[in-house]
Amino acid sequence: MSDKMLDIHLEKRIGALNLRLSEAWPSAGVTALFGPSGSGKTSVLRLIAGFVKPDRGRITFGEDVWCDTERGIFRPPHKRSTGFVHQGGHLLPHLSVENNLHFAERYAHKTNTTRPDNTPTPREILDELHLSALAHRKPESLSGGERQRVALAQAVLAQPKLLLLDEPFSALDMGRKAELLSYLDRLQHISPVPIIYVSHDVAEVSRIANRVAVIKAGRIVETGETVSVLNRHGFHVSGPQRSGTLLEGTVSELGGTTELMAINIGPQRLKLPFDASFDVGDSLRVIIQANDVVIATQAPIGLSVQNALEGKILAIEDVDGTAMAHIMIGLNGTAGSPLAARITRAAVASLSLAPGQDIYALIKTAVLAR
Amino acid sequence: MTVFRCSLVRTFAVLALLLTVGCSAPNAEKVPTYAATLAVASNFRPAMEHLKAEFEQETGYTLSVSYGATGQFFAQIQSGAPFDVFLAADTLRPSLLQGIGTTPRTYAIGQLALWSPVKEPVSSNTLNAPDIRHIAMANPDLAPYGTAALDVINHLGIRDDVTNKLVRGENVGQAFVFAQTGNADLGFVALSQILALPENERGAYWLPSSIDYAPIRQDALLLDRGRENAAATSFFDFLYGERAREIIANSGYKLP
Amino acid sequence: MSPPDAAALLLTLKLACAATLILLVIGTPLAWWLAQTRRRGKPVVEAIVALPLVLPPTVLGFYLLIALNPQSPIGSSWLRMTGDTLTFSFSGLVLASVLYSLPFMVQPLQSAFETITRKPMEVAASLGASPWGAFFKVAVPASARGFLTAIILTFAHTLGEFGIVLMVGGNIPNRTRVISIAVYERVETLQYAEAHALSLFLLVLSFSVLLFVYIFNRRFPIHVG
Repeated sequence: MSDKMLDIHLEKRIGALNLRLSEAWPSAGVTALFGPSGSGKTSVLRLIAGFVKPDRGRITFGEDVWCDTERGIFRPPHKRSTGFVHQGGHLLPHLSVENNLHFAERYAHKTNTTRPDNTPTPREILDELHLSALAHRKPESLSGGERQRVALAQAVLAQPKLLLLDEPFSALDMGRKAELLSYLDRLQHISPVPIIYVSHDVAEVSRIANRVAVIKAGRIVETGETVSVLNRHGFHVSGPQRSGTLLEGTVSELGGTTELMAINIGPQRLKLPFDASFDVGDSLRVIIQANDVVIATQAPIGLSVQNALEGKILAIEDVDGTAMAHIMIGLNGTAGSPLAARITRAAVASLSLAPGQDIYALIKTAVLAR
Repeated sequence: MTVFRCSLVRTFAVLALLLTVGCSAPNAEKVPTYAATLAVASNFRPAMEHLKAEFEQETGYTLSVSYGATGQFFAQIQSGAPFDVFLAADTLRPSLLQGIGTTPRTYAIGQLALWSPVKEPVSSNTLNAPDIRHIAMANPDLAPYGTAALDVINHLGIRDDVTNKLVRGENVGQAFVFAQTGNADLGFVALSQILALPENERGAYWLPSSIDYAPIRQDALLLDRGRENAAATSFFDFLYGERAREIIANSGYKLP
Repeated sequence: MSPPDAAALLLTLKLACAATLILLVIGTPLAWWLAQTRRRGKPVVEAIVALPLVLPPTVLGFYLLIALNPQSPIGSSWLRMTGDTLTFSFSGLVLASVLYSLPFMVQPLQSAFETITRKPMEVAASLGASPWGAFFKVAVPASARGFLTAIILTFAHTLGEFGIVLMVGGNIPNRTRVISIAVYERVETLQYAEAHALSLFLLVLSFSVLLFVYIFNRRFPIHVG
């Protein structure tokens, strides 16, 4: 399975958007398609699914040629063995939740000759996703989030060879989102299916993606390993300036419900509220918003903030048109991405901050991403 | 919300009222004044047009003529429709209207014709010809031309042979259309309809002897409303006068 | 009800059934195409479909009389194939009814199909359903109410036809004499009592049919996500 590559070379004009892609993604694990609204991510997904034809181009999955405009080949969506979850979690409106899943099951037996033992039954999936109570309900009576979960279950049940998810958890609250992201994780271990995951949410993407393809105005700007790509592009999604950092770390101490977890970032340590889904030795990603970083020229005392990372200022950049400035901090002992901080220019001036200076970066809050 | 609805409804009500008042107000200046209003059976139309032209020229009165089905006019007149004179296609309906007008009087006697729009000669034998698929006629229950046609068929003794070929039009006008459009090969129509066609389109026809069918007497009556009307009474007299009778005869009718 | 009137009623019901069935077969793909297409020609087709709603029946009947007569291309080929004329036959009536009731089948179906957004069809396709499979297993069941409305409206509309049937049918008993003509004849021959009875019967029948449609649609309104 990991020999398969998803090759996409195409051009498509949609309204004012000019899509142009030339990508080869390994079909294992999760590839996130990351970008701002209107960048064309959903369109790319729909092109892969076959709902839309490119103006020019070729899409191949392993040895299957799904589309080749030069040779006049176009395989319609129902012959591509891709599962698709729409942004709104659309389901078959006239069937109950359970029957929606049975529908998927029925076709799964058609497209795949064997049924792997580890594929769940509709009942099992309903249980796993806590949807059993909704089994007999009709889609129109479900909330947006419930529909998205059922849609995911439906797509998975169809045993596709490639799973295409279009912001599948946008209508879910944080708790449910985390649950479902864990489910996708588990799925990868039980019956791995390559996933292309469209999102503009850094936390989601950093949680689940093996690699990230950043899309802007119809072009792929960069494809690569999650942390570095996100650090370069991820935080630009909501604004023109980088405003956050993704750090990689390992859990060194678990703490408990009333105590803090310790996470090693290189030789340094962060203490964050306990998260039961982690174990000692787990590697994870930590998202720190630039606005949540406070800079101190001395080791802090008498502050409620417990996390202080030592580092050196790499660069200071004024944010045009505002009173703010961006500080890039190289953390001691870490070769990874520099930490981004956002403070007022006045503060820069009053502390006489300059590149090369040793400082302390105080972290007020951070989000754990795996 | 109720306030909004109230004013909306009121506006609509006022508009509707204005419209109906405006439309029903007699605007004497706009509509040309007709001296008399006539209801005339459709199949008499060609002859009527001649009579109207002649009468209007002679007397200077203008006539408003409505053509239609005798049955419909009958129902309408009974309900008070504003006609002065009624020229029917039969004798039954006028006789039923006697309380509302003068005694009905025959103004024309229709002649039945068996017609083919194609030039080939037509005779009583043509009815039985094997290549005749459909024979059009007026509905005997509804029109005297239909009853007449049935009489002729019975008289010829071919009722059973042709009964499957018979196609009924609502009136003799429709029977004519069936034949003219080629849907029926033959049609029992009024001679007056054939003569109303240009000479080169008259095809071929056979006139059954008038003793073989019940006479198609067409009666007219002056309605009560028309009695006061000088133009109406004048036309009614004209209808039975020399000149009118000449026109009627030339149009393909027999005279009473 | 007298035997000729009963025969007329039976004929009318046969006609309504035949026309409705044929329209179901022709109208469904047409309505589907109209609901899905974004082509420029769509308004033209919609207007043509809606024509029978606004044309006087006599106009339609008159043109049919001319178009279907045995010398015309359509009429003569029919004659050659079946040995019978198209006008003054039951088949001719069916054809006329199909044209006349077309919008009553197509419009409710198109409405129902349009309510089913593209998404459910895409969902079905992504799960592996072929276009035909998706149509019959998703589109049709999801628009069941639309089908019911369309069928009942078409049926009721054909029941009440008069002008066209008169023009094209020739009022032949057991062949083209439908119930509306029977009522008309009663009125024309001044048999008002019988006319009342027949008319009332038809009125009640049609009203009940329509009432059923509206109650049914109210109780189970079409809701599609």
